Amino acid sequence: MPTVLMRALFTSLLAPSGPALPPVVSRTPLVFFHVDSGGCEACGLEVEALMTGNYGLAEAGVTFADSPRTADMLLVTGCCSRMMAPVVKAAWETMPQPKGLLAVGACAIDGGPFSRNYAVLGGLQAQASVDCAIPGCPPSPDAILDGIIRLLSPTSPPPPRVDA
Amino acid sequence: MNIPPILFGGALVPQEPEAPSARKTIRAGEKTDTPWRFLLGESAWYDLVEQLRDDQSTIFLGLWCDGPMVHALFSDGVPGTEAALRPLMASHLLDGPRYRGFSAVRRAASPFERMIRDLWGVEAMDASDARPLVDRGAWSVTAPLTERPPPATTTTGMPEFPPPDPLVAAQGMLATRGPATGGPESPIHMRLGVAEGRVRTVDTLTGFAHRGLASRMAGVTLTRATELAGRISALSAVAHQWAFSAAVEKATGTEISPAADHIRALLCEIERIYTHLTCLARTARATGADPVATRLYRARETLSRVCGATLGRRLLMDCIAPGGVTLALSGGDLLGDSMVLEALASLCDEIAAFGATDFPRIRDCWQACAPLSSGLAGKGVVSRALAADLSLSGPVGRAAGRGADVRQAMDSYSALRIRTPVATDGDAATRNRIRFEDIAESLRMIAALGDMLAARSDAPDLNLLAPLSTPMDRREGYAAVEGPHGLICHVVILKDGQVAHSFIADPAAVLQDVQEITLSGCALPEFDGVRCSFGVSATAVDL
Repeated sequence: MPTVLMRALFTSLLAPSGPALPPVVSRTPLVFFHVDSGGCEACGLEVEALMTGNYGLAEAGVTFADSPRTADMLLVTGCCSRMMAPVVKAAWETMPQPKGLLAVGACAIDGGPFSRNYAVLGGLQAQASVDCAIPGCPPSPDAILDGIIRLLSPTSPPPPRVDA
Repeated sequence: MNIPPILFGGALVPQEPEAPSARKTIRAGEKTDTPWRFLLGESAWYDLVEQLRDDQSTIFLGLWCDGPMVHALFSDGVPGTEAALRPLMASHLLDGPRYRGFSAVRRAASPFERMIRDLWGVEAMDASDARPLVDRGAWSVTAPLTERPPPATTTTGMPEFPPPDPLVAAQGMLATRGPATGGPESPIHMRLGVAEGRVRTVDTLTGFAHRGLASRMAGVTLTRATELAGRISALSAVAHQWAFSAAVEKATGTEISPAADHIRALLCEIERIYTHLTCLARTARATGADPVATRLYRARETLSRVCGATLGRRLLMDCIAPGGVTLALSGGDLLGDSMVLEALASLCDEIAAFGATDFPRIRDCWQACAPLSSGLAGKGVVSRALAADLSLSGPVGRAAGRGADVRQAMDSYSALRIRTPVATDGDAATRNRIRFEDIAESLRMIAALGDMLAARSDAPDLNLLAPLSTPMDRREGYAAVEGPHGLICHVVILKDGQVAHSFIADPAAVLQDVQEITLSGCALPEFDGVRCSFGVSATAVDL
């Protein structure tokens, strides 16, 4: 009997109401969908560097998709302008369950240099529950990768979670 | 009796009364405390617009509003041909919510007029383009920078495009690009009307990345305004911070040291290479030439890593401030000036090594790749007339025969010999070739600047960051810098020791218009490759 089923059986018998166990099957490949929600493009350039700059992302099972339909995580950069807010929301609603939200850069977290005004909502922190926030203006590709790894691996300390 | 004139040695040229020129009209206006700014009344402003119709030597640089007035900045002659910039600013006190616009006689004024209308609710009469630029009805208020902005009417979700072209509606199809592509570009929404295999119409919605820089950079400290200037667009962050800082220095009368000046030029050239590599890599990716794109991206990553290791910043934001350069090396500690110079000299050596080994190989690779070298030839042609009409600069202008380069006239580059590459074809392949030649030129300049900085490292007092006096009275300053995409211009108004207003002119807004005009007629599969060759960053359009 495959390990997955064995474990599922034991889980259902022994710990029906216990805490959720870490998934037995790896969540990789983990697919990201990147949305620039309106910023200076620096965080986007660093995400682009992470994707293309020999950081071994594909080997680690992390890929970027062209469409949110197949994505597991929404990676948001930029300060979330009022015009982009419906776009971010539409991308989020299109993604299948389970899904996660990753805020990359100071702008995406709390607006950074672009606080709330007539055109800007000022980051995701006040709007949504963020699963992983990577600070920096802009964060380096190493910092972004570090955040993704902490999100993936159950042994490392959990990433900072920001709730609305 | 009427005696005919006696002629000596040839025919007498009849002296016609000189036609009133635009610059004379501006100079005839009421003088202000700033020697290059003049106040024009209603009729003089109208005359100015009429005279600009025939006067091609007065170059339009920007048009802004600060509430009570509109200000138009011109240059007497093309900036970069003889002088860096010979500014002439005409200010006009608004009487009601409209003024005579310039876009009928200077097409480059159109994005400025649209921006003023969206932000201040002040209309340009006789405007060539009445579409909004950044306000698509999603903001909390309309005309947000006015004293008492009226609340916006609630809209439903996404902004919509106007009805398509009749031929497209009848037998074509609509394709869209953006605003969320999954790629790293700034958000912009394009709708392409495709009929008979060609893109017939390109409608663009901008404003997704509007952050309100005009209001954020008003009434703030110099430090804060400098930080924001670096965040106008990451692909020209150094150029914007340099232009802003130079404008502040001009306003306060601060002299910066020659070493700091050379470091600024060095940083700007590194940024130019980075930006060109990004544009070329995105073009290669959009054209389907992934192996070439990978090489270009790796080269860009090498450049970022070298900068990160030496300067502590992978992207060169916040290296330039009013007064000089702020370079903290490897961590947060500000090190001694001579150590900064040594580190920069080693940075130059590493970049020169890239130029000697990797760069020629990438260039050969590009030329050997048929979709890039011959596939883009003749596509997306910017005509010389259009380039002249809009006074285009940067790689797009240079590919269409406009050789003006403001670096030729800047003190920071005075010790260097600059060969600005120029071509006349104006197509996407030429733009890419100009970018490669620009990179080669920048690499040569970086090597020369590295030698100059190494020679300077023994000097006793380098003074890389000159102290800045912040005067309490009103001061105005201007500066122009050759950014990676063309001429970047800043006008700064200081008052009470703070930045009262900061006017920004980035080439992206005009390039966005050029792109819209030029992309009509492309085949759909080529569209993205040709679009990337313009390198327009939506974040610099939206501000």
